[in-house]
Amino acid sequence: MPNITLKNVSYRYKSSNKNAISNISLTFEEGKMTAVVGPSGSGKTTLLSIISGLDCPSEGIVTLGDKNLADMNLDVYRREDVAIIFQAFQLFPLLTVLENVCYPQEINGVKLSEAKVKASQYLESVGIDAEKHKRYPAKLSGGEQQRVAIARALATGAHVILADEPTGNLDTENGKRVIDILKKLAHEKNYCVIIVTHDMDIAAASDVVYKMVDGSVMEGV
Amino acid sequence: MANKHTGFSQIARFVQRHILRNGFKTALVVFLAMIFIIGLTSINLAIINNGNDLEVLYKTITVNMDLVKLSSMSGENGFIYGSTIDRILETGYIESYYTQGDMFLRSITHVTGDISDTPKRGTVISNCPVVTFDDVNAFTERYSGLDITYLDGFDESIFADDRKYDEGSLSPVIVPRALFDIYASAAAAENGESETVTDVGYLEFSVNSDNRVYKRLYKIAGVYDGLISIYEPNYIIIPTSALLNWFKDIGNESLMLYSVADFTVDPEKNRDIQAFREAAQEIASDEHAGTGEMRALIWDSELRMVAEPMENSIRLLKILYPVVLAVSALIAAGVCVLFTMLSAKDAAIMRVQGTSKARVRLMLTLQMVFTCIIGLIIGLLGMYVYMHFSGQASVNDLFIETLRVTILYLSASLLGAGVTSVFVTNKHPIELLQVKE
Repeated sequence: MPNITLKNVSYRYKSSNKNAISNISLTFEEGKMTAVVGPSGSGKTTLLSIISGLDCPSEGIVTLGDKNLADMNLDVYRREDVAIIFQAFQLFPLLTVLENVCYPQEINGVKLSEAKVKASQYLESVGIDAEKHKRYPAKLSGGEQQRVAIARALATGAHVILADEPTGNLDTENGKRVIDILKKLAHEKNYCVIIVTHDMDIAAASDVVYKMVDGSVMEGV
Repeated sequence: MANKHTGFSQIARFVQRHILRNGFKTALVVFLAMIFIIGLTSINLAIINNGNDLEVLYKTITVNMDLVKLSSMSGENGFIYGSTIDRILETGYIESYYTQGDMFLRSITHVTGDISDTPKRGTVISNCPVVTFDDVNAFTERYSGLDITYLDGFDESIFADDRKYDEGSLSPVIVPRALFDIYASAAAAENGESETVTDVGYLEFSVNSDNRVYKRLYKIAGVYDGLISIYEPNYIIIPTSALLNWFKDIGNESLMLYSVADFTVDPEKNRDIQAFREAAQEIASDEHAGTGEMRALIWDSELRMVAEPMENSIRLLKILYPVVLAVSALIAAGVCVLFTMLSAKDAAIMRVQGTSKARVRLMLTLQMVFTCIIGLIIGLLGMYVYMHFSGQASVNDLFIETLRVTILYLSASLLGAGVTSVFVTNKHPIELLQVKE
């Protein structure tokens, strides 16, 4: 399970003459849950975009293990190596819970019948019972939807999970449940979990915390 | 690496699910496509049907044209020259015509006896009116009170034949009862017979031309009872050809004058009636058209009252059609743009999942295009069933145009969805999916 490493990474938006992030060098290790905290505009989202391969750094390199992202097919990278979870869950509203979790498998070329079996397993592993598998996301609670999102992330086969404010739309109990699942994935399954948040409780629960201020990172705990 | 087969299956499944499960969007797009194909096909059908009806109408409506005096109040005699009638016929618009010669001869003389040896000349009438025609049915229709009785050896076919001068077989004439009785008495006296005679003798016609007097014998072939004119009771009836050929022999056709020239336009030419009107007016208004000012009266009110509104209707439909076509294409594109834009979030989710831009664009575009196709198929089936059972214009008549319309509609949808899918997939997914603080 490779780490994600950023070396001297900077990024500037085309419409701006100022770097959104500057000269960042970080490593996100497998087997750990790392929080990236900071106020609005600190560059968290930009960092998330770069790690997920949705943006390419203006300077510096990003590597997954020993592979430079710049040399990789970034669609394949997002299909197989990294998965993202969002604050607003972002499930396909017109697909059932099961179909949502089948989707990343299907685009990876897995047959539907096989994908359904695995999807059921992933959903069970995050506490979504079988009787809910044929429901549409709108019929689930926020906590359940986020757990479906986690199951979908697991279904990609990726071992790097990026979570953008995963508990932002959840109550305390469900938020804790989601964090526990992510922590378990990191500690027990050796996933590299990266959480972008401004929730200090999540930071406190993380193994490593990076604090971002004005596009730069202060070393964390 | 994704399997190509599973790739197509995945795309098909995704598209199918989104079409079937997005009730409002699918219903609206299907409805619009259906409405437009039905609307456009209906307009096209109306153009074809109206065109066919109009064609039948043009071919069945009879349009007549009369050459008449410009003003009946003018007091002038309005007689038509034969050359004018010929010019009208030369326009090529005439299917049939009826002309009636009407003129005064210098004199007519009753002749009996052996005309090859010593004919005996009897009653002379100066300035005798003569009426000619070659369609006895048309003539008797005009003068319904007239009753013609033919002598032995003669019948109404005398008017149809082309009568040229022949000493062995003279052209026939029909005389009024009053003159017939006088001639019969004279003939009976001449032949020593009773008053009931079968051979009443001949009439010698005399005309002036270029200061010379010309004469020709005609055989009395029958008698008529009734009046042709209250002003001239002694009209002699003669086939047009019998007189006209004599005037041609004399070398002065213009001696032949007509009081009636009625023409029936060839129904095949009804569509060009305006051109005929102009040609006929030009001919009639020629100062040498007749003995007075003439005009051409075209009786086309039925054509105008019925055909013109239909022509206008078809013209309007032909203007409306491309407008509706353009509007429907714009709406098709617009709706596809709108609904593809609304799928931006789905597109972003697909992108962060690692779906390539090309695949996302394909799925978004196929959703819209297939939905349009469903609507078009329903609309086309509906029109086919309607046309089949209503017996209107055949499917073949509409096939090419309907195909064109369908392709245009689909192209517009494809363009709208395709271009928008490019725009949508070029947006940064994180910006669409992240909750803004």
